[in-house]
Amino acid sequence: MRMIKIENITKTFRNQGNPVQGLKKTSLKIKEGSFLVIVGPSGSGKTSLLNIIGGLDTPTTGQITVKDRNLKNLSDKELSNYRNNEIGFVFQEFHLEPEMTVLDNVLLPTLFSKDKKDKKEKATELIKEVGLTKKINQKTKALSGGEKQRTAIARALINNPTIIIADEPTGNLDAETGKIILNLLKKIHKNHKTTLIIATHDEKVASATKQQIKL
Amino acid sequence: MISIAHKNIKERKLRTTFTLLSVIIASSTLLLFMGLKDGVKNATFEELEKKSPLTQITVSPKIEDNGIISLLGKSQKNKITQEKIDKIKDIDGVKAVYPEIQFNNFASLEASVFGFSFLTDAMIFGVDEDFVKDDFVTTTDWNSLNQPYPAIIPSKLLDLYNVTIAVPQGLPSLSEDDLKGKKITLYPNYSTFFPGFNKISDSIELKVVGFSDKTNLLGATLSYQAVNQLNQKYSEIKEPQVLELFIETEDASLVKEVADQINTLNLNTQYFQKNAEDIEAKLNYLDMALSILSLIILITTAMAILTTFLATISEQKKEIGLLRALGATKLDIKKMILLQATIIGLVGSAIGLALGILIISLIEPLLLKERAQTTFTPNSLFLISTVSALKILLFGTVLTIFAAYLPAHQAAKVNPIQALKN
Repeated sequence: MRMIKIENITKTFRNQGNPVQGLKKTSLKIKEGSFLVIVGPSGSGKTSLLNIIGGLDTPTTGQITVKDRNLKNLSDKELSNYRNNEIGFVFQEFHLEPEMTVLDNVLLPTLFSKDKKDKKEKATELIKEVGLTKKINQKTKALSGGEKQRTAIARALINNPTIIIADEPTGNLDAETGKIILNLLKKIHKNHKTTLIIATHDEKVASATKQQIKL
Repeated sequence: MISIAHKNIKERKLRTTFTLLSVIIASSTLLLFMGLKDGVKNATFEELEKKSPLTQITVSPKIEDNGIISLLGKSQKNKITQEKIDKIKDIDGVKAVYPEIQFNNFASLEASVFGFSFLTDAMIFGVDEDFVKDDFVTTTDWNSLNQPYPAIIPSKLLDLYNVTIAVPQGLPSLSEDDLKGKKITLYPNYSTFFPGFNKISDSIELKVVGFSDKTNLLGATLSYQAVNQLNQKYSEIKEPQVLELFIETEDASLVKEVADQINTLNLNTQYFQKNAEDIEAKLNYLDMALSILSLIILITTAMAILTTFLATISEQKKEIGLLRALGATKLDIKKMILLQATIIGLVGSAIGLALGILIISLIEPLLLKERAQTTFTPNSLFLISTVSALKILLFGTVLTIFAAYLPAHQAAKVNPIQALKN
């Protein structure tokens, strides 16, 4: 079943008044539950494509449809709900709240969701799943890079999203930790049956799946 | 949402402290102004009500028709006649009419207190017992025509003496107790100001039996009969000259209606409600001045809060971007910032309220001590009601929310991609 349908999308930015093409014309169909890696050098438009799929940005031209909903037609509230319920973001820089505990960071997306039932139990389970039970009440500023990314992965899963978007998830980690995080993402993809989309310039990460898109 | 707002407040201690300080200063200043405005108004009306009970009307000849000579009883034009008094008695709502007559010539009073002797010109007034009976502080036969004649002293005369004579000259202040039962000598037809008019040097003994806020400030008040007797013996004009009338109405609500009817007799009327209107109009200037000062403080505070919040938003951009990525709507972000403002506004105005009350409790005794040397001696100068306190809390909070609205609006417009990149 085709979940994401991208048709001829482009993204153009303005840099000091001059147009800069961030993403060249791209078309793509992504099936539900698939594991896809977007590869390409810096500036090729990987992050732009992920941002458009994740509802953080809109294409300059073209259409993107997720579960038959054209993202371009959604209001701010609908788009926010989409990001909250359908998407789980994993960033290269982790983007955690340093003064908050692992548990509170994982629970952060639930602040904006309607369904708040049993979320603490769910967060505790996810933290266990990513192997951070012992650090559940520790502030994230005290965690290592790998632990921070594990926290970010648990946070991405808290609202049962259908799509996990990971932008260079191993970019800020050493090779060994990066491997562990990649395996964790693969495990999560398998256990939670989510669609996993990773953007990377790292060939080793790209080789984790056969489904690759080169930009 | 509250936990995030609370965390943001805690994380930015310096900025939070600065914003809190602005709200605290504004709230406490507003409380002081509001308390002073209400307090002065309250004290003024209390003072006024003491002098002029709510049911009383003071009637006098129209001064523009008669001039000062008439006041001294020399002019016959437009004076208060028995015919007019009878007409007033017939007005619906009039309970009692108390004429105030005067001794129709010069007079001086001599008193000796603390070893000093005072001799001064004064007017002598006469009223019915019913009008002053509540003011007696010693048992007395008011209508007695035996010397010493019972006499009432205006309470304000004591204040005036204390303020204008005792304090500047370093003399001891006088209290009612110092004068109670005191003998005073009255010299009829004797003036220290106009010695050329002095005819005889007779002396009459008076005894202070009470103090009143209702009687005439210009001299001593005796019984109606006593003044009549003095006029018979010492004045060229023997008939009683009615200087003023004190009208007691059946109900305070009837005062204006009765006064309007008295005015048709070409007489002047004064009563609490009318005086209150005049004083209120004057107090409105104080109100206006304090309102302008308050407005300046509010604008300054709002600017300080706005600037601090803008700086905070700038620092929080990355966090706002993250929250947007995680599903926060623009409205959620706006709510979060306004919630921060609400917490700061509520805490700040509560502290400001407490600080204002503390300042008032410290400065009020000092101000009242200074006032004790004047004729205006209220029990309190500041009036803080529960409603005023609630108004301050509400105002401080609303002001902070209002000032934070623009920054909140800007925060809601933060581009999550740009914010996360930074």
